[in-house]
Amino acid sequence: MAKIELSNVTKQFPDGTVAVSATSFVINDGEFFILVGPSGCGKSTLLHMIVGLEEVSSGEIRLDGKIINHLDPKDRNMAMVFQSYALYPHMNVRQNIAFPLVMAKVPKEEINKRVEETAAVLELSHLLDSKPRNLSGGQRQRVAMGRAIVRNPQAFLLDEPLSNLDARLRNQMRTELARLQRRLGTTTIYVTHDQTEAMTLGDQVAVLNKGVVQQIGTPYELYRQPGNLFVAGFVGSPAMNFFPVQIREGRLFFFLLDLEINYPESIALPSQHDHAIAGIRPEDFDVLFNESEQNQKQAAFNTQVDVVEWLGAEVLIYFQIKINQWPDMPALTRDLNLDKKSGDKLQVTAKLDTSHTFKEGDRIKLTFDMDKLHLFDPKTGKRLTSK
Amino acid sequence: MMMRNDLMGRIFWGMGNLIVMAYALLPVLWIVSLSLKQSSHLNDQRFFPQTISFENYRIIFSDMQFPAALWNSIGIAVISTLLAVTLGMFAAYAIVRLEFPGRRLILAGALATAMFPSVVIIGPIFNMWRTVGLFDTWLGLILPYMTFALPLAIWILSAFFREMPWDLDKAARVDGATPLQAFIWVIVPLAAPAVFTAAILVFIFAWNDFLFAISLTSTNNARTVPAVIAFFTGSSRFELPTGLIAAASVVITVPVMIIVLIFQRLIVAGLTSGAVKG
Repeated sequence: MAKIELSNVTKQFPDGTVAVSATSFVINDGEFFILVGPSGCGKSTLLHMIVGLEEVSSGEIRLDGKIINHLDPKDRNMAMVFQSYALYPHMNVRQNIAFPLVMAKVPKEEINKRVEETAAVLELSHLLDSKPRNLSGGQRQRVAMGRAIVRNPQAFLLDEPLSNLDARLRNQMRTELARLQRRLGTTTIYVTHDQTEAMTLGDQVAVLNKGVVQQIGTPYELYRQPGNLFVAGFVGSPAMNFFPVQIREGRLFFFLLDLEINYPESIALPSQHDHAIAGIRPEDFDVLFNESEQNQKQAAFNTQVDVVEWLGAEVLIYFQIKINQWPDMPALTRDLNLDKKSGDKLQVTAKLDTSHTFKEGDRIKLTFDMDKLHLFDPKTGKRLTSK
Repeated sequence: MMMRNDLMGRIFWGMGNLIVMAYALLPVLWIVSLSLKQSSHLNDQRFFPQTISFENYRIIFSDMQFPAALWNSIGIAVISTLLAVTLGMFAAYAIVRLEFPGRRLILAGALATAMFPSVVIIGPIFNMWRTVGLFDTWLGLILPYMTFALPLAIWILSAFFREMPWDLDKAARVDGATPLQAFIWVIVPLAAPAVFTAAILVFIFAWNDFLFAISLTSTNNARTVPAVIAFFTGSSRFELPTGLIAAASVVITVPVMIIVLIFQRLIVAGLTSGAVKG
């Protein structure tokens, strides 16, 4: 049972690169906390600092109020599952799971009892005498989990534990992991680059980019109110569509869609800008067949279907818009591939229900709810605050 | 057509193997044959001895100096090997895993030491050892053997440690091990193949050395077998000790071959498979 607090934790490597800069957050006891971000964003470094495998350059890490910056990893009583699982290949499953207890000098009978119990929880009982090399990916993953839970640690730290599994197994293990964590109630920090894992597992999610925390919140908050362009583009699948818009006398002009709307009341537009970046989630588009169905809150535009992807329960429609003008994007979106040149085509995705069939080349009328529009500052990328 | 290619391939590889084996084993068989011949038959120009005689073996073992030399050889080679491999293991691990200035320099320096022709330093060592009292002692041979073998051990082991997933050390540390415990419980057992490889090479180097052994010893105190063989004499001044030399050579070659064959089974590649995904 542990509360983990980070205040201004920074990691600078000897060559000068800053992997993590001034990060602060609180992970409450029993919480499932997710660190998510693209590869190289510093999330693994952050995890290694919490568990003690990397030194903290500056700032403080507290465990239940006590500063643990200089505590050896063996004395932190945190268990970690590695992306590679890091099972000891010369030991069988039993010895692997027992290793932390052996190191803690737990009496032999006690070790046996706890290993058997753990194996039973993870359905590994029949594999206790196997060597790791004879196990499947999912079984190895379970052994790694077993080695972590057998010692009742104060916290679990999981470093992309599912990324080496195939898609089907990954979904299955994800559910098992969530169930296990809820049952044990142990504070858990989970690192992933997969936003689906982040959204489905986490009580709290911290989105990282280039060593900087972009936003911390519940999955719902990140999805509904992304704090900046990076979070907006990273969270959600398929990714949010972005359009540059001009601000003219209280109205928004989508010049790529040739569409002008009254801007939603919920958004406070800054007076200092004459343009902004609008975001619309693919699932917030709707198709309109009958003009009379359009309501006051909806904006509508015509487009031509380029590609149709039928997913079963829903259908993805892609359409392209020729770009005649594109503003410079804020630096924090560098990895989201938002920079375009005029003359390029903007690919837009809409996720629609399957009550209608579409084919390539169809001319359709799409609508979106103005309330669900996200607006971002074109310079800083920050969300334009809701009123 | 396939069948024929297959057959040709088998003949080709079979012949190739035969040639290589003959090339490697004929001299050994020749020595074995010589050692089993009676002294009168030594020059009979036959490959197989007409009558098998263990006379040569009886003579070398009845002479005091050979058993003493055998004991020296075993003791000195084993101790040198243990020291070189143990020190090499710590050094290699530190070089691979720890960040400290001059890591590359140490590796390069180790290689440079190994390249140094030993004949160049034999004179200075001879003088130094006589001054400090190490001349004609076990330690006097163990020190140079260990020193010259250490670079080899460091290189073999550091190459191996570099391939070993770092996550294993980290996992052990998180699981509650001190750095030394992580090394002993996790790294050393996994390094067994490399340790045996290094040990065999170091042992053979020390076991076969002639230059240091002949220069730094003078009595049965520390003289090893390769050096003692040089002092063999025939039973009369007109007789060459060919048979005795052959018998002594067999005695020191065969155990090494057996050791290598046994340890070869321990050098199992793929011992690490399953540690990480693969």
